[in-house]
Amino acid sequence: MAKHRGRGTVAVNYPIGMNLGGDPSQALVHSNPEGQFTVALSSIDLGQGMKSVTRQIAAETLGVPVGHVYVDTADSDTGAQCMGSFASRGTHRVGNAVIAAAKEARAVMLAAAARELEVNPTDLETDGLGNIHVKGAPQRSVTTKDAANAAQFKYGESVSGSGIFLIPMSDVDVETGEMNTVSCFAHCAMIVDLTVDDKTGEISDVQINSAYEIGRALNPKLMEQQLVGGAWMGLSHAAYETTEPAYPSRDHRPFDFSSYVMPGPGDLAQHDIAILERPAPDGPFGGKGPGEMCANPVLPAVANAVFDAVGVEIDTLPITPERILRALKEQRGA
Amino acid sequence: MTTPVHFTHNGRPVSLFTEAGESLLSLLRLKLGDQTPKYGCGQGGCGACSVRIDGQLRLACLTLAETVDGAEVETVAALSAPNLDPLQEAFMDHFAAQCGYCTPGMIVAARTLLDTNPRPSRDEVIEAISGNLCRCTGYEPIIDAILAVAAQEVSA
Amino acid sequence: MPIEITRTDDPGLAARLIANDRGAYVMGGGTGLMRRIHEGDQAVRHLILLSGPRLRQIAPERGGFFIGAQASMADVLAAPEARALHQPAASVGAPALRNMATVGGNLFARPPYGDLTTALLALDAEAVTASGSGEDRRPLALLLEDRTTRRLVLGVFVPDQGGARLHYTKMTRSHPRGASIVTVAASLARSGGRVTMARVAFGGLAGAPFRASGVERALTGGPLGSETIATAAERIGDGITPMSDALASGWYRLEMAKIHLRRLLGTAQGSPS
Ligand SMILES: Cc1cc2nc3c(=O)[nH]c(=O)nc-3n(C[C@H](O)[C@H](O)[C@H](O)COP(=O)(O)OP(=O)(O)OC[C@H]3O[C@@H](n4cnc5c(N)ncnc54)[C@H](O)[C@@H]3O)c2cc1C
Repeated sequence: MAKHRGRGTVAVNYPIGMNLGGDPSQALVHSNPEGQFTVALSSIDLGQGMKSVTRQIAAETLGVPVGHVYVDTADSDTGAQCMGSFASRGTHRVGNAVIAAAKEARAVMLAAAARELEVNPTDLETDGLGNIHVKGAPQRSVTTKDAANAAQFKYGESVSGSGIFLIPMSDVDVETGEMNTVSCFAHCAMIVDLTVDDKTGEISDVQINSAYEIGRALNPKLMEQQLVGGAWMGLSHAAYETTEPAYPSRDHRPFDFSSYVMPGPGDLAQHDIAILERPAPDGPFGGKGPGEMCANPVLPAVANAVFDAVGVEIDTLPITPERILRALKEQRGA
Repeated sequence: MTTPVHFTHNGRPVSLFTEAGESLLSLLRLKLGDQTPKYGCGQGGCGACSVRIDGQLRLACLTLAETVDGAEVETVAALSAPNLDPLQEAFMDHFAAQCGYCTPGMIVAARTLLDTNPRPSRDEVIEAISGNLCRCTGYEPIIDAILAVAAQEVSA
Repeated sequence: MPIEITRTDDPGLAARLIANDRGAYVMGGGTGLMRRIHEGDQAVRHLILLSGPRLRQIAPERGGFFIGAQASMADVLAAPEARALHQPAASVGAPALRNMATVGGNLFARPPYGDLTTALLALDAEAVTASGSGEDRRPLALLLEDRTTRRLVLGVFVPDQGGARLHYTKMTRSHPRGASIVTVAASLARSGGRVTMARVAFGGLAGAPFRASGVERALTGGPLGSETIATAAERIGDGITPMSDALASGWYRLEMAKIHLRRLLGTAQGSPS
């Protein structure tokens, strides 16, 4: 048996969001009588952490503890319109909308606090622990709960806000073909090392080294987990899963999780990740979001590594042992 | 055709009727209202419905309901009362859940492992969860969480 | 259509029910049957829940040992008598499945399943079936070939292997668990540097597990050299149609069967007779 080690590299500029006639997202924020806040979104958390990250963004903007914010997602009846959770746009678009909405709500809350404390709202600051106090005089303070209550019960003000973030549609310059579809790019570089068994076509001992530039990691642990899990799915798309294994023939389609093959816990790549933070000027607190970029680079990197290992270029996904072996036999002229 | 079954559900004796051909999963979720075991594939391929029957790890979707007559059936709900199982804490600390659908089955599988093998190797952990699919995490944080609990329980 | 259920501890009754009604099935662990029911397979109309101590027994018997049809893979793994089957039993599914999947059900599993059965073939096991109120025995290979007669299997009898040793391997796409691309089980006896007996079975390769007589003949009589092994590997495809499914094409399965037979016997070469 002969085993060959190969290395594949890839570099990615990943556009955040898309632009088919403009790309807006909206958010609504309001306080309840307990002085806690609800953020209503129609954006969907499909496991990627939308709820966690918008909750942090809202809390940071409002100046209240994270525990005082509840995010209600994925209901297009109660949330304002959002283009959706795709194109790696969630953190960037929805995060900005949440900031805009939370700023409005915060202004109402601070105005009420100012009246309670008999100062100017511009003289107030929040401590992030649930208190609003006069700058330089922390003893002159009111809780965010009392301020929110005063707004509603004494001053008849609604502690709420709405926000929208829009990347406007960009027209094509008819002369040059130029257009400006995105405002923000994330980046990745990845190196995949793997071993190919030239008798079976099997890939093993996959090692991934990656670097991601994602603006700012608003939740570093969540970011890391997203990148690890995303790379797993990338590897699965690269070398395992497909609904059409005999494409273009439609035969032999999988019908369960034994025939729809995915890497098992014994097929994990060792993955070392470096996160580079270069806050995006138009991102919420500088954030861009790893989104789809966590999975995509693995595919070309695996294809390149297989080529480097055994000299066959597989241009059909997934790069299965069978496809590698067939290509090897053709290469040897068998 | 309905058949009476009597068994204990998370330590509590229960008696109900099952329809012929009904699975334990449907009995638990629809008749007992215990929705902690998840309906994933209904084919035994995902492990989201993992439960313990007389201490043994089983797939509730492939278990004919009337065969648990007289047995002790445990779901993840039994592990989280009154306090969370250390595995549940560790899954949170290690970010071992994203969408969360596999988590109940993972925890039941992991608890069954640690009850019989308190110091598992990494490979033994991998084997123990090999019938439980996770589509989000890439398994790595799940394996780490289980190993962390093993280290903690052995040293305690 | 509602499903009928019969509970009984009378093997004779169960045998008659399945012999006379193609919609009647004896329930093992249910990992195949329950799934068919979920999927709305109307062919499953009557489930027979058969019980009895012999059905779960694993015990020495004259000239070998007996495994009840309802013993699970986990039961096999816990029985020291069945040591020869530990590696194959451990290769079936994941832990929860092994607690449910029975030896009897494995004989009739949908391809490419049937890993334990592949090993049983190489061990020259006999199927113990119900006959009237008594028992009948026939080579397992015969039971598997005759798919028209529906017999109740009470268990399998595994004869003493004398000096023969079982070599087993299973290739999957995902790890540590997955369905078979090919499963190879080879039981070899050697004496004076020559192979005196070879039983070689393949699972996953061509529908139900089977014994490859051409391979066995090629291996028997001479030393276990690389050339013999290579010749034997070329006989694997004789008389079979390798199966294609979502996991692999028949072409790939046959290629892998050759490679894995070679690798398996290559390690056998080095091991004590
Ligand atoms: C996710 C998953 C993974 C799997 N992985 C594997 C694997 O790696 N390797 C493998 O070999 N299999 C695998 N299987 C297939 C299957 O689980 C096993 O083959 C198992 O041994 C079947 O046994 P059972 O008791 O569950 O069968 P059942 O579903 O109870 O029965 C299957 C068939 O056998 C018949 N039968 C059962 N007992 C008898 C008897 N005593 N006499 C006559 N007929 C009988 C039934 O009537 C039915 O037709 C897998 C299945 C699933 C769902």
